[in-house]
Amino acid sequence: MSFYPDRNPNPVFTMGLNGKLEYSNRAAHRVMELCGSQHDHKVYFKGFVDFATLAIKTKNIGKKTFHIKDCHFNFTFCPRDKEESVDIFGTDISNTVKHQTYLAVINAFSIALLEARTEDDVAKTVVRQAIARLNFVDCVVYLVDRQEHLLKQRAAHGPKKPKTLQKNIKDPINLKFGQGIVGTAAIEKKTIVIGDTSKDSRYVLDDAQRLSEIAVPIMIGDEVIGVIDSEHPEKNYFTKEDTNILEAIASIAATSIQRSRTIQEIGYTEAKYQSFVKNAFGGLYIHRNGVFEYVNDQFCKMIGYTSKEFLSSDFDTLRLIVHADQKAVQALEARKFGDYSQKSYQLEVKTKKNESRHLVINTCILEDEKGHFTLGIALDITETIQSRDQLEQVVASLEKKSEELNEFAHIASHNLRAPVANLIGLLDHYDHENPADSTNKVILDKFSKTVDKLNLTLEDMHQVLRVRAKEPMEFNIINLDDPVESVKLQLSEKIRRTNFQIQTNFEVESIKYEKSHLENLFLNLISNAIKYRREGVDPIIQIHASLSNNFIKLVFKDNGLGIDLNKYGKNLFGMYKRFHINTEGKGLGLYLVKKQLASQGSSISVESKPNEGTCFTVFLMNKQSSKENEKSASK
Amino acid sequence: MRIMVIDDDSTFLFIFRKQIEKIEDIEIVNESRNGLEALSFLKVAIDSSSGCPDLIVLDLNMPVMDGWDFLNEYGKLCDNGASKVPICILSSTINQADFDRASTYDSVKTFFSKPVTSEQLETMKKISEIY
Repeated sequence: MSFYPDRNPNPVFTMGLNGKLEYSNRAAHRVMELCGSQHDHKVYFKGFVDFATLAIKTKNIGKKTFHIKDCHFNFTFCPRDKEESVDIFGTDISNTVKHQTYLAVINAFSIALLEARTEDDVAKTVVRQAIARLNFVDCVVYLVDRQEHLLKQRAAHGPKKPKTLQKNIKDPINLKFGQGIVGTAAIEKKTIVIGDTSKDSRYVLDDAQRLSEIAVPIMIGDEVIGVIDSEHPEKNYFTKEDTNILEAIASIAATSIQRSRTIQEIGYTEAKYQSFVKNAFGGLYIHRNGVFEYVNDQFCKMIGYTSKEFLSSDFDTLRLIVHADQKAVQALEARKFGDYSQKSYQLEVKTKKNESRHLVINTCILEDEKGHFTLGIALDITETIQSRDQLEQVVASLEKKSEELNEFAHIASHNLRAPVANLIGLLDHYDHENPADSTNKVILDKFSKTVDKLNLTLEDMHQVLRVRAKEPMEFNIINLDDPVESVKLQLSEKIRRTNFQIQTNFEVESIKYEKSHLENLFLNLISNAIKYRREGVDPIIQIHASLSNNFIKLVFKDNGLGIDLNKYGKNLFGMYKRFHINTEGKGLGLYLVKKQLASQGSSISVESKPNEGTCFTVFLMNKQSSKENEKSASK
Repeated sequence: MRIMVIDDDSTFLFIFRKQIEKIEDIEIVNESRNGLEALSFLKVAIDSSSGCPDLIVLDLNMPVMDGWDFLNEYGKLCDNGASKVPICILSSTINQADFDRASTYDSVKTFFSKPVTSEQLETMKKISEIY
């Protein structure tokens, strides 16, 4: 049987019907050993005998691949023409199949990695998509913790695999660089294969002692970022092929980790940027050709519209901003071409609730692939402006007060100095030698009048200061007839002499008010009407009182000289102004009246024409409740 | 010397008259109670050489037309070719701002605060002689 080459490394069988083995070479014996059968027994692995029988019966040549444990064979079945037997020629294709498996694993792994976003994703994909498919009993992926400079277990296959997907690895251990086989691979930056760990002092026992170990560093350039570690209970388990495939996986994993790190860093930067823009202290917006492309939350909050409204609507605030920005653009264009430097301006806008907000806006023109656009940063300075306005008001009011005080001091000194100067002058001319001299009588008479005037001036000044000091007032319900009667009594002599008429028509009977203020008002207006009466007409003043909301309206109308308001209107209620000659006016009366009224929220105004008479209209803030008013009016 | 007094204070005028009586060669040719009265007197008096005063004594705080308004109107009168009569302000003010303001008027030659002394009246007399 010389043509049955016994030394052929490939298995050769001759088989009869029902699996009867007629010949088998040495290689064929090995196959049968793999199947667990003896060379003189039947080849019994499933399908083989059936296939041989089919070939004998059909006389057709057949080809079939059989997988026996880790070994793979292609068998060609050649039936003999005149015999009930078949010659079977086998080829060991185990290595080819193994390479194909590796390729398939690498392929699936590479595709799966595309989904990996984080380093942990990559580590898990390494163990699930690669190691598990390669039938390694155990594998752990370590990744370098860059802060702690430690190798940390991040994903596992085999006993260390977590029971649930969410859970992290079971009892993870951390290794220092140089510690154990894994640490050594990391520090030496190369794959380490140990055939018998029991003889290697570097071996670190994890969950169980295993005899073979392979550790492959995962590297980006020259930097070790992790280690793939696998152990096996058998000695010398890991082959050159295993080393190759693990190194290939490590290399692909490294690329993927590098990518995930980059994505993560971009993500951090992006997130940081977005958070900054979104929550920036100022409002940010971008518009291009008059259309808003972006607004941040702060800007929306400032103007009270949602970003959706901003980007889709066209309303006045937007137009205002766009227009203002375009003005800025024009200004920029007027400059040297290409100078897109920042432009700042202040703008008053209306919010959705129609409130006014003051914004300071900084804009600049930027450029991207779509062309020029405007970036605006808005700061809300409404509160600042409001407090500035308030401050200005306070300053103005203080300035006015100070001016008034200066005026008061000045006029007071003048009005004290004038009578005092007169007193001195009068004394100079008093003839002490002849007390009975007729001139002395005139001097004494004038002296007495001047002293009276001085006294009145002092009294007026006291009143002015009292009003200014805002002394607490006492409000009483006063019948409006009372001040009239009081004035009639005080001025009885003058009224009699001038035949002056006072007519009253009071629709309101009483008012709750400060008595002295009310009396002063009536006294001044009535005595002025007497003083400034017109010759040739019967002097009269008509006083009318009516209810006007919370106020009592008093009208004092006389038929006297009248005042040229165009000329003296602004001085009428000033201090020590007199507009008529031949009268005894001190000039303080109307000033004091106005001050007293203003201190109670009341007001006075005047209408007058020379030679026609004067009409003062007074609105008195009634301190009575409205109920009391009705009662008062109905009486 | 002929002087004109513009002042609304009758007591002052009484005293002033008494003081003038004691000085030789002075007579008061006109007493006006405010600027307006004074202007209407001056408009006529300036054209007649005999009626024109040599000095105007002017108060500041007066009704109808005060001293300042008078100075403005008087300036206009002078611009129209009227001869400039020197003015002495005699007021009870002691306010520096009033002194400063008065010094801006060419026609104002001196400024005294009331009460006026006989020395000051002598100065006024000299002023009217210089101008």
